[in-house]
Amino acid sequence: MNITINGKGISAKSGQTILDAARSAGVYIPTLCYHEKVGASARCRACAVKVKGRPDLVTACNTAVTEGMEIVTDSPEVIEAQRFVIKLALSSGNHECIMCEKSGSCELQEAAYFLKLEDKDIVTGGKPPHLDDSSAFIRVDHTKCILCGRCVEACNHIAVNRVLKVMHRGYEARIGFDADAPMGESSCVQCGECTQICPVGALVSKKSLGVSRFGDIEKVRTTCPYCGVGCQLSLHVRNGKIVKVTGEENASPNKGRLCVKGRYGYDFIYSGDRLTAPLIRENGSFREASWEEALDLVANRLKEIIARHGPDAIAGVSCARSTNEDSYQMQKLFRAAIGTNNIDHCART
Amino acid sequence: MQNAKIMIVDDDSDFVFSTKTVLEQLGYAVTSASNGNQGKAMLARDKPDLVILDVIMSSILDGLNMSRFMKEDPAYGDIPIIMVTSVANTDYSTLFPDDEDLGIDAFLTKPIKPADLKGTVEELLAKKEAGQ
Repeated sequence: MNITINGKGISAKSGQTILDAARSAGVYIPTLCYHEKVGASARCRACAVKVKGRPDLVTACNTAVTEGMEIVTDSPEVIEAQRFVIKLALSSGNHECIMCEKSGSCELQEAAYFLKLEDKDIVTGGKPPHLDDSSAFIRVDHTKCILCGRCVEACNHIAVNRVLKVMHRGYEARIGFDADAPMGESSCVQCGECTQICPVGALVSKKSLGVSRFGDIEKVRTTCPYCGVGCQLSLHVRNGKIVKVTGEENASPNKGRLCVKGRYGYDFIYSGDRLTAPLIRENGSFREASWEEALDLVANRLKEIIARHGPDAIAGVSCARSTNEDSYQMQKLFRAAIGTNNIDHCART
Repeated sequence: MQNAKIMIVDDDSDFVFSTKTVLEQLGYAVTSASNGNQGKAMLARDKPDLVILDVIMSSILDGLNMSRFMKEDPAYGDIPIIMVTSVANTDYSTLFPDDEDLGIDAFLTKPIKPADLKGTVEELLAKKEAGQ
């Protein structure tokens, strides 16, 4: 169908919202509560636009386009409304950007920049500090929260952990964990979905504090090494070191979700205890060996055991961090080469 | 002004219900509208002595537009307005255009304590009666 945005003709699809159509056409409309993963809630009203023929402004995120619709996103009335919403969001908390982990990728900051809001337009610092550092991996700064509801929706309906909710009323409203416990004392499993979907710096990863905002960070797309699910993730790498991990939103099977291990368990990479060469135990202590020597030793010992006690004297436990292909080969080795069905996988129990 | 008429304009039906309940118990006659346009249309019929007005409603600038409308119309210009909001901090000046008198007489931040509501309503009605 044909619509116009700011007088320019655009082809839109039936069922698209004004926001979808605008984004497809490269027209920026500020959003805070909208995220394609959790859908439209029209809660923040930052995406106010004018539709000719309608008396009031409408929210672009949940208004479907219709044939011939004339949409205006840049009139003084629309800009005043958007500025008002963003100004309120900025003034209702302590949105100091200098040390904020989200600066540069903050949707509130982006909207304020687009709407040319300056520091003098905003009074911050009205709320007493309210920092929840009680959990292992996530920092909650309630004074940066704009109550967009994205984390609540994601916790309940995307990660389905059902920990987060909005509590209290009016200006005292805030996100809460279980029955308003500190995050670290709640049933939160630290999957970090809330940190990934938070549009501002209210929910951030502790491990990335002070290290994840540099311009020379390279994003490396890879597969999580922990289990066979094969979650797709991005390593944020600086100077050869991972400073943050995020889930890939547009990739299966996880669609951006990660578990606590995939998102935060990357310290092992730099552990001094990691094996870098095969070790052979001799007289109670280990010595480094070549792969040829080590594999020959293992093969010979397995053959000796089979000859003396039969193949069922041997059992194999495959590692949960193996790929499906490696696990398949492991069972093939045990069933076909060694000749036993004693093969299992440590993730089964 | 024990029998004063108060109009609540807010799209939050829970807020309207609870505020209406408190005010009716205090002896006021209460009407309500769920957005600014509806509120504006009801002004002539209801002739309220005081308006309690939410800042952001469905059409975003509803609260501001209604207070501007009332300020500019001599028939409504002297009706006291209590602006209510859940998003502002205590410095309400951040909410509004610096150089504009919107005719707002008092601000209350939600959740509003009944005693604060009672005190503010009584004070503004007494001022209005005294012609201030």
